[in-house]
Amino acid sequence: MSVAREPEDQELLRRAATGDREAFAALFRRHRHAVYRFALNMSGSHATAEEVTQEVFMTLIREPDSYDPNRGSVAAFLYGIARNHVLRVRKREWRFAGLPDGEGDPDSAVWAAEDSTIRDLIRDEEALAVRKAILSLPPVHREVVVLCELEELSYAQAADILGCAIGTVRSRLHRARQSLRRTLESLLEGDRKRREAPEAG
Amino acid sequence: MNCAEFHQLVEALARQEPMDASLRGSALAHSQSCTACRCALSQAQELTAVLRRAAHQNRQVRAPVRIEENLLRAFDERKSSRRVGKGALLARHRWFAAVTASVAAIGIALLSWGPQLDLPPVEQAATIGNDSEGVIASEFFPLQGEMEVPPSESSGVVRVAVPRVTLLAFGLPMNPELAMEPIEAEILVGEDGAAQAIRFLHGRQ
Repeated sequence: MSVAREPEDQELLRRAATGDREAFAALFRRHRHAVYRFALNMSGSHATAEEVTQEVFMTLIREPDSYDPNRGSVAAFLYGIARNHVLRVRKREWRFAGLPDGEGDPDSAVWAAEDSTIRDLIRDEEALAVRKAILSLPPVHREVVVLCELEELSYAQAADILGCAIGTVRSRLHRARQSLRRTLESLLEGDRKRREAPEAG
Repeated sequence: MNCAEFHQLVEALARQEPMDASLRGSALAHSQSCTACRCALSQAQELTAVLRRAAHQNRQVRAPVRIEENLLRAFDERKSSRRVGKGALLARHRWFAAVTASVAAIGIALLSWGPQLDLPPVEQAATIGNDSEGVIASEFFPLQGEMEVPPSESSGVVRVAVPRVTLLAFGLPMNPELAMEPIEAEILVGEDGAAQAIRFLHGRQ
């Protein structure tokens, strides 16, 4: 018995470009959550993640021929668009918001202020601290942590998405993890002190 | 293995990345004998565990359904606007073709009714041909049924400008975008004043 094979991304993209709605929907459903999570983890904002996800797939609607198979997989192409959009949105928000006046990265503040589903998901302090620590990383380190640790992609897949060598991904992740560890220790230590303070008083 | 070498491998060890078995063995052996490196490995492993829990939570994050609704709406709108665009273009082409065909027919009819026209003095066709100005002349096409093209000695030549769409009437290729642009032509006029044949001069506007 033969098993029906799902169409490849490239095939779906080709069909979507000819106006095949189902092909576009299938491609979207296959990648939507990954693109959304990537944008969310990079920005710390659901609004940004939603905007970015929409823009990524709008690019496919507007410019279906913009994908070049010689330059990598469709997934890498989508992540690449998402990455550019996140940076653009963050720049725009920084321009309007100005410099942070509170403690820490403004991204962390955005994340901490999230009101809906993610707050339900991140119930414990450790998870929230991890998110804050990731958002405190510079974007080049943040993206390798998001891809290799949170999305659990291989170095090769991350290199494909980021358009760099596997060795670069490895060394960035090495540095990012060390930085992450220090930040996490500091955040968790801070939480511990805050918890203990009322008892002492 | 020394501490610096171990430091290069500690994250890979903690993430349980595939690595050469002997390298892994010597790294683990070093960590057993060095307290600082053992502590570093332990911290890296702890971070790995924390990140795996975060990855597990991350997998539960879902894109809101409204994104799909918005995108499919945009896809449909784009598709229909393309269809409308194509239809409008086709309609415009049809209309344009009809108009240009009429213009060509009127032009040819006027040429055929040459005797009624007060034509200007004629020039000699022989002066045109493939001339030195880069002007290339087509062959003469008869304008009156099966009639042979008359010998040029017995005819005069009138140079006129006709819409390029006229080319189609003689089976010549034409760029539709330039259909209403003028192209120079020469009309052979018989002794009786009737237009007998036409040729087109490429390279002149």
